[in-house]
Amino acid sequence: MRKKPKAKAYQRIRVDSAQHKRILYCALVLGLVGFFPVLARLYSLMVSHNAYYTAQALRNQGRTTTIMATRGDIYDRNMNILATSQTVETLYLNPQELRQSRADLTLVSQTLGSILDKDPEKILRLAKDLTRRYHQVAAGLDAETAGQIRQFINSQGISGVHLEPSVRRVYPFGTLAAQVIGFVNTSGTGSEGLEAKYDAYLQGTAGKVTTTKGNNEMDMPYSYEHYAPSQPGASLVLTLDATVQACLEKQMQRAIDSYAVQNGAFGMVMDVNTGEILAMATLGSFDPNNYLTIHCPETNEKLVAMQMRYMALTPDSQAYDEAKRAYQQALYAAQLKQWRNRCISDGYEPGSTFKVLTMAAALDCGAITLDTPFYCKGAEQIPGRAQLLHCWRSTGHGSQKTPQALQNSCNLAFAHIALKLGGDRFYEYVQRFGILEKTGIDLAGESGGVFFDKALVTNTEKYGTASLTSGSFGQTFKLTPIQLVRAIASVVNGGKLMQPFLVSQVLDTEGNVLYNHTSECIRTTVSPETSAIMCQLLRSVVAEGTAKNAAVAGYSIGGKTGTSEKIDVFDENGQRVLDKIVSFVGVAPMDDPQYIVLVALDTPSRETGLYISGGVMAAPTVGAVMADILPYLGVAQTLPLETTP
Amino acid sequence: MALQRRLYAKEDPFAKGTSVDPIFLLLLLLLLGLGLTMLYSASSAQSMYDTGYQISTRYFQKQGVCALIGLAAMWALSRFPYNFFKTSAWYLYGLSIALLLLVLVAGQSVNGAKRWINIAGLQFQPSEIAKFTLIVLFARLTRLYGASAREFRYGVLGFGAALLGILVPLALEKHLSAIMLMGLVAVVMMYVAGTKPGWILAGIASAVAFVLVYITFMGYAGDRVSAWLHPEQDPGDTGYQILQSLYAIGSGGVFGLGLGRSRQKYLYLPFQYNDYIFAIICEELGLVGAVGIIALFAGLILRGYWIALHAPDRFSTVFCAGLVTLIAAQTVLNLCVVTNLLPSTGIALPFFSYGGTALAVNLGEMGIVLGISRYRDQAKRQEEPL
Repeated sequence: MRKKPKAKAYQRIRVDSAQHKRILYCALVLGLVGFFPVLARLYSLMVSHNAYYTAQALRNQGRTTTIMATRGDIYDRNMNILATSQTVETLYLNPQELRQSRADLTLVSQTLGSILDKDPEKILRLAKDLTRRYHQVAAGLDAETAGQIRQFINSQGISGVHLEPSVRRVYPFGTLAAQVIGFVNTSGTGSEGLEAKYDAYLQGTAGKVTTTKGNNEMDMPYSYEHYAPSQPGASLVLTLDATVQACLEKQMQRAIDSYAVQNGAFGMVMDVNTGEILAMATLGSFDPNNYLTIHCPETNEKLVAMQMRYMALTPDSQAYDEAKRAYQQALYAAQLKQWRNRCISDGYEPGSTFKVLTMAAALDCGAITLDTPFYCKGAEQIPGRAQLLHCWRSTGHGSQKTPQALQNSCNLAFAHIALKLGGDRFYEYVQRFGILEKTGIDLAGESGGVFFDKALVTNTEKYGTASLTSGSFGQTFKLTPIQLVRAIASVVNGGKLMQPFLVSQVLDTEGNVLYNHTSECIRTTVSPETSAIMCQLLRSVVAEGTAKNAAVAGYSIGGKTGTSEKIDVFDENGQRVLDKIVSFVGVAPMDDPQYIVLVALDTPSRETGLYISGGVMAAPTVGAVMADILPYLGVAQTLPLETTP
Repeated sequence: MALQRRLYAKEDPFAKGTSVDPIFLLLLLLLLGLGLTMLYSASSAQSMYDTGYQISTRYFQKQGVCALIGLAAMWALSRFPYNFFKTSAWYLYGLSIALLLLVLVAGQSVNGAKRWINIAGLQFQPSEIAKFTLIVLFARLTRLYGASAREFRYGVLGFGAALLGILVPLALEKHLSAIMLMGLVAVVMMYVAGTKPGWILAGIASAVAFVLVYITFMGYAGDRVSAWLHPEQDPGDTGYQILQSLYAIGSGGVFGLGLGRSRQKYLYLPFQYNDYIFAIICEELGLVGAVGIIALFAGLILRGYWIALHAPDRFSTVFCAGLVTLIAAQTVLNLCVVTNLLPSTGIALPFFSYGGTALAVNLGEMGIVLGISRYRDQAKRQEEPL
């Protein structure tokens, strides 16, 4: 220790001593300065980065429950509900809460067991398991059952038994327009049809509740709670008319039954002037309320048999696995088939219904006139075609002019029309009629058809005239029903190719219009004059030609029949099956066309004794649909009733 | 009586009934009260979990009993003549080395470390005793060396040898945190005693170098350092502890989630009721509460050094300064670890962290400081420089 003059010796605190100075330094460092970095760090963590660490901590502790938004409804054009969402309730127990409230667990489990028809022992076991806060006892309870439980809870003053609402999709009309409407899968997402296409609108915005939990799912008395309410989905108003749809489906089903149709049917009703779809049906349908169940009884029987077969085998054996896989694949294929909307998803050979477009094209560009003569002797060697071309009537139609060619649906006459028209113009009109593009209808899963390569039709020098002439009467290519209907609608409505659509309005929960579809003309196909001539010709097909069966008392109906072989379907021996699709496109009323109706029956049985043709089978079906819907839609009867055959 | 006469100074404050320093006592009791409160809050979730949701006070009860024992020890030691420690410094030193060696032979393993000993049903950590006896011995040596502490053979070799006597058995126990803490306290006391700062710095530098070489050869240096600097790179394993601590602190904000409302204490933050209790304090009481508690600690430490400066003689001055340094070093190191300013070591926060021996010993040591504070109004004894 340094020696200091004793004269100024400090009485109480000797800061003059070096040792005391050193202690003072220590005090400053350890009692003051040492805390500065800590304080700076705390400020940085707790103030500057508070938001970040709060978020990180919540990520740790947070448990988020999604509140499903109520899905929007789907209405037909008359505001009939086609799809809606129902609240159902989930019952769960909170064992800790039950214990704290000293509830009589035996009474609770007995009562719940009897209301739910469940084993009370099992419920009791759940109620006693204190490791969890949430034990689901039952789900999908309807209002009545939930009400009984609620009454029991309230009357006994029990806490720890909870009912939680959830949502179930309901389709009141069942199979009606099932493929158009689609369905909602178990995770709440729209699958197929409008439910899929308009999912973003219908879905709404899910809300969520965030709470915190301790590690190992420990309960936290002071939990963070955040509630973000859900935003209900918007509703759709369709152009579809449930009554028209029901009529269409009824008549199609009747045709299926009458003609023993093997492979279902498809059809639609469209407003020719606006493109509104009033009805669209694919039979071999399904019930969107139970979309996984196979609706067709025969298919279902087959599947049940397959299931029985594999269940009878020893589990986990190779045979079992194979049979099970086969069953599952068959089930899956059957489900996909019944969900498929054939009006927009599947191409088919239109057959003679396509002649309407060929003739309209030829008249429109002046390749033929109404007086152009044709002669049909049953079969003819067409230049550029290797094979002899047969007309469907082997005895031939004899001498005929343009109107008769359409009335008789004469293939030879159309081959000549195609030759007069030429490949370039034919292809150009096909393009104008929208056959080469998707219609853009507001449905999920639309496909285009399969048309010839341009060169096949136009370069007749190189490829001959087979494609051109066959194409003229609707063979050896495929288009979708919606493409055909839209194109024929343009022929009768003055030449406007309309955009077909199903949703006219999207409404929010308050009924405000979020989206309004206005009908849209894509392009013009033929001149109004050609259109007027075509209307007369189509009317003459029903009045005098192959489609007399489509006539409806009091109405002027026009249309065109079609019978086509399925060219690309082969049996096990590689032979073409002679399966046919018979169809009819009808338009009414012909003095001012408003509605177009297509019905196609896939593979009528050859055993009914009836001649398989569009005229015999599809035309009367369309006629029956017209007879049902035209008065309903308020179309005036302009013809005296006795003119009908 | 003869002993008492020999131990007590001429103007004996005990005889006159002079009271202990009320400021220091108040700060101490405030910290103890807050410490027990926060221990209950921080440990309740763990206690509930351990007891199958039955008891929330399991850790609090044990700590409370030790706090009572500590308060009794504090009261007794505040009336106990500190000269006893001056005279018995060497015996205590020998005893604590013996206890440390005994741990190596007959100690109990807790969490894989052999640091506990069981004597007559009492379980305690001899390293807590060793910290105290080292301070006693250093104060005694300071008194003994006087001005010659500036010389190398006293100031460095003398103190160094005394330090090694304790550190070697601790090193054999692999009790790294105790070694660090004692090293720090010893360095501060040597500085106070008058060892030249240059030698001290050289000593610290060589110790750091040794540690660096040691952990490099042990092979886990990289892991430890990267877990410290970048805990977010391995949030599930090596970075888990520190990240959870930072989440707790950072989510506290200015005012905290409220007393008892920590969420990280629900088993997210490991050691939430001992080494990392300060993180829970930050989460529950916010920046305001954390700064308040730091201010109390700072007040206690500053007042403790003030008492040292007002102690009657050189031994009591250095003894008191050493005891306060022990508390200060633990506090600062613990806060730096919890806020990730330093890598994780395992140093508890005095009066807050769970740990009965540490709490009782700390309170006893504060009792000695309080005893010395009784002399604060007396003139310094003039001591012959040696």
